[in-house]
Amino acid sequence: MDRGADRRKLLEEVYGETGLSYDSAPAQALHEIVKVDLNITGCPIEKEHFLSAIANLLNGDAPVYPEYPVCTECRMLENNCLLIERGELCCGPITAAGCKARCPDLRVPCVGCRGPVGDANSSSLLAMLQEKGLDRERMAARLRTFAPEGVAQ
Amino acid sequence: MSRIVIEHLARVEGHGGITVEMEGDKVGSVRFDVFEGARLLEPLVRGKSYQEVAPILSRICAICSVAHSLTSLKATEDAFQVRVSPQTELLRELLYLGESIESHALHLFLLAIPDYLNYPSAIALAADKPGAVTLGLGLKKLGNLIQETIGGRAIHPVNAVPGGFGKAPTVDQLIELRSAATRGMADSEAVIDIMASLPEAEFCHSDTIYAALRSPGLDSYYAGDEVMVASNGDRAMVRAADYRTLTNEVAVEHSTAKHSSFRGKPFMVGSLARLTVNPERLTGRLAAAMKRLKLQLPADNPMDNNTAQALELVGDLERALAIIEELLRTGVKDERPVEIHPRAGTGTAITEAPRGLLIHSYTYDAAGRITAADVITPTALNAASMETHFRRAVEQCTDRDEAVIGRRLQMIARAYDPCISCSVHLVRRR
Repeated sequence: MDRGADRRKLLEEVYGETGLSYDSAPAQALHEIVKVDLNITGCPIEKEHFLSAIANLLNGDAPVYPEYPVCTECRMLENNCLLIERGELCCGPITAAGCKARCPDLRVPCVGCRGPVGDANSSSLLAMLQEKGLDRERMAARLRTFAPEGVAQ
Repeated sequence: MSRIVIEHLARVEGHGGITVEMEGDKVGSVRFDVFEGARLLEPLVRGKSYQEVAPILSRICAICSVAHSLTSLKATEDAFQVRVSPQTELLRELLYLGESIESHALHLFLLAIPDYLNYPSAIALAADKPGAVTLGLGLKKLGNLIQETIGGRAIHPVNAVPGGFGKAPTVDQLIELRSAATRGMADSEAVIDIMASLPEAEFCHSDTIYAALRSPGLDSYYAGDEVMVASNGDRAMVRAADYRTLTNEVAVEHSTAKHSSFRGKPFMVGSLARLTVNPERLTGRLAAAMKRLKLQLPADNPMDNNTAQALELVGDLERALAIIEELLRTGVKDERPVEIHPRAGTGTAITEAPRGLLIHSYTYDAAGRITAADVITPTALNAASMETHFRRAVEQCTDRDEAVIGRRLQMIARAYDPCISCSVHLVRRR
């Protein structure tokens, strides 16, 4: 959603005139409000990542998470590629791994709920999808669902 | 004029409070205050393609993400006139049961029971009486396992998609699930034992109107298309497509959850409403347990919703095991989802989320993009009824001690098992 959208208009749309009496602010990322020392990514996070973060921190170590895309894990499971072989809109190439390719392993395209991988090559993905005849606007919308603004504009 | 204010309701999902204004001995205004920020999810789904809607709207709630996902899929399939396979129907029902088991176990044993035994939290209760808490956590874990196996994840399922499932569970997975469900069944007597041992909670009596999916012969949270509204002897039926004649929502200033009423009167949804509307489900062990827990239907005490949840929990365990056994008996096919052909139109779905009726209604354009959406959650539907029951409880309390009244009001609020973050109205059809 566009964070610059007029909140009063949105409130009135959903609640009618009463909505104008509510306070409302655009959604913001946690790091925009407070200093964040450690981020466990994912919506929801993986249970194992939470447990390993606790264990690591108790031992005085900084937890380490995968810095490669979902595709790496998906290929290791020897799945057929939803994107290349079936032309489905899968966000695996630009999404941070760590979920053991949960969705593509179930033949369901990745929706990017773990956020973008460190050096996501989204422009290359967009180019590939375009080659497959998938509409650019729809792809960009899909990539933005879980990714912060600025990604895949 | 004096005030009884519960600033923050503990042990419920989300942020809310209760304010009661007293005018001498008379009860003035009674408010269920909802301070969650307006979530305005409509702009988030508007323009989105039909494949993206369920994963986004599932994020309304992590506790009932299966309910939101499956209701979303059912609404989308209604709009596109898609019929899913019998195997998909069975798997979706099982997935829904997993969520219900998890949600009821969590609510009863970690949120509601500490009240009855005068403990401030489940953690404090666990120190003295670990039995109830470990029982609850064990059943919650079973609910999670069902959701992981069928839905692909314990929170925000990924495997249920428009037209069916990404992949059906394997025989090995179902055998593992059967063992876990069989162990869960062995706990169901303990659920009833614990409920039967609780002190009575008789401090709010009120004629109540109940609304739930009427699904004769289906015994389902997911299937069905008609809501029955039942008050003393009176019955009215509302079809999913006409849901607005049921809800009649209005926005109120003290709450970002809209209020609903049917023919000008608040109504209650949830476990107690489901059993009231579908009493034929209460046979065999459930009938015996109902007798033991002294539940009479229709009930006039909202606290009985806890009892109804316990009965449902036992029924859910039985049904989950029966579905797993049926799948193992008939064999699970490696099906692909039914092919979807988007078309312009509106689709509406009503299901029974753990906390009661959940409604999703979408309008799509010919390309399968959302142009308008409406989501009405059980806690929003219950908000007006909660206020009525708060009022009755204050009126019927002979003790004017604020602490006594406050405790009773909180127990009633928790018996409703409210999910306040869900109730915050998201979307509205224009």
